[in-house]
Amino acid sequence: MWGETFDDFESEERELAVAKQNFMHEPANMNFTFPSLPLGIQPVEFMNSHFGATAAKNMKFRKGTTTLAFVYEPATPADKGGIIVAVDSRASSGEYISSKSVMKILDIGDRMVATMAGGAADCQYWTRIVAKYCTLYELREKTPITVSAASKYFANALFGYRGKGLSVGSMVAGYDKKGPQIFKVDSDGDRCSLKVCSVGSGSLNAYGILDNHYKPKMTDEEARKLGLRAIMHATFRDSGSGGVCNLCHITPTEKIRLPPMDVSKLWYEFADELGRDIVYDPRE
Amino acid sequence: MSIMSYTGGTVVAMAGDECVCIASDLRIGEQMTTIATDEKKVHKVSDKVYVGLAGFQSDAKTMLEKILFRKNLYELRENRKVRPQILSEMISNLCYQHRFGSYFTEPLVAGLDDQNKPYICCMDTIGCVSAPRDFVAIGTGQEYLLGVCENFWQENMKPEELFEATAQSILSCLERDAASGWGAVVYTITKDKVNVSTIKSRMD
Repeated sequence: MWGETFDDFESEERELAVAKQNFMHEPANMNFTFPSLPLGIQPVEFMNSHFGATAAKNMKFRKGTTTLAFVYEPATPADKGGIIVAVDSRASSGEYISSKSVMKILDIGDRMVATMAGGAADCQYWTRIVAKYCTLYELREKTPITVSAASKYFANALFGYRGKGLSVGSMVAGYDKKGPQIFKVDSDGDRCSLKVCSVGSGSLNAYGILDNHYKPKMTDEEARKLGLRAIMHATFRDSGSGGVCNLCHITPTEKIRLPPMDVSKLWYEFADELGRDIVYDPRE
Repeated sequence: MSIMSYTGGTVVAMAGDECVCIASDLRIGEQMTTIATDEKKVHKVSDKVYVGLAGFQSDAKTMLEKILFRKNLYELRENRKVRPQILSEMISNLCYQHRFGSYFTEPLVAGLDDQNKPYICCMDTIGCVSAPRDFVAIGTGQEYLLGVCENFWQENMKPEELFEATAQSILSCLERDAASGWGAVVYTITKDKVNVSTIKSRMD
């Protein structure tokens, strides 16, 4: 080998060496940076004064949500078990409903999802970044990333912007070699693993239903109904949530997205089931 | 959030040919939380005179008592029914008396006078009356309503047409205003009778 020059390689080998040099090292997967603000501008004050509560309707960021996810085990062998992720579809700026059909379940790869609560743009952008990281990880390591690792990358990315006014409340849910997992990640840098979880302005209402009816072992039918019902009751009480209920069922083998259900229709069905009199009778 | 949108709520009135329509939603909230869904903001004052009170509902309740008190006193002293024009002036005076510490409610008056001529008006919290001939709206959904009313209102509508226009307008408004909704109630005031109908709407 000594004294051998580059020309002594077969051209095919040479190409391979070049390809290896170019592509086989760990790719720099996050070389994007935000342009820095002009000197003297404090990000949080800047955001509050231009996009906060006093700002004009269309300058406010879209907010207001109910999202939930829970893990359950199949009650019978016929059921699949796994994770139910259910969300509403309203985007509001203050009292103004800016959209009635937002998809708040975002895909990360084909076995994981992230839910969207808080600033819509913040959630969408950072989920995209996490999805990109996960894809590159899988190509490099030739094994799918765990939910734990993906959510940790997410939490670390958000922690890097702590105190800069980001608003994200996300649940990363999916099935990996360790089984079904849900991680709640937020813009304060918090990350925790949970079995039953809800995030957003309507989360307390959703928790009310969830805590009452959740069982560790359920049939698929029961679990999906529970997700729908919790979202429906949350949208009824919380004016920041509404529209349709988007539901995603992650089983050990696949990710099933169920057709959207109108929450208002669900409420009327629920009232009918109870036999509740919904007719309002004004006294004069 | 401002105190004017603390409880939420919307009221609209439209004028037609010898008839007026006044409608409101049924929600009461505490900011984002819905507390009740059976609270109309339209109140009967006289046979063919109704007031709507949007804004902070605690103040609206107090205001309604004061309005009824003054109207009763007027009817006893004058020995005749109050006309909507007179009532709006009375409410305006009442509002302006609290110029430097006003009630956080915007009143709306709709009714037929003794010639069965329609009268509608709305005012701000301190009593600036505006009485257009077509339609008025107050509350959190005001901006959305004025837009759709512009489209639905026509000259000389009959009671049936007027009801349809008012109902459609308020329903459109409720689709986009998060602070109002959970059902609506529409009063159609004609010279012979007052028709009350409740409307089902989205419950989110």
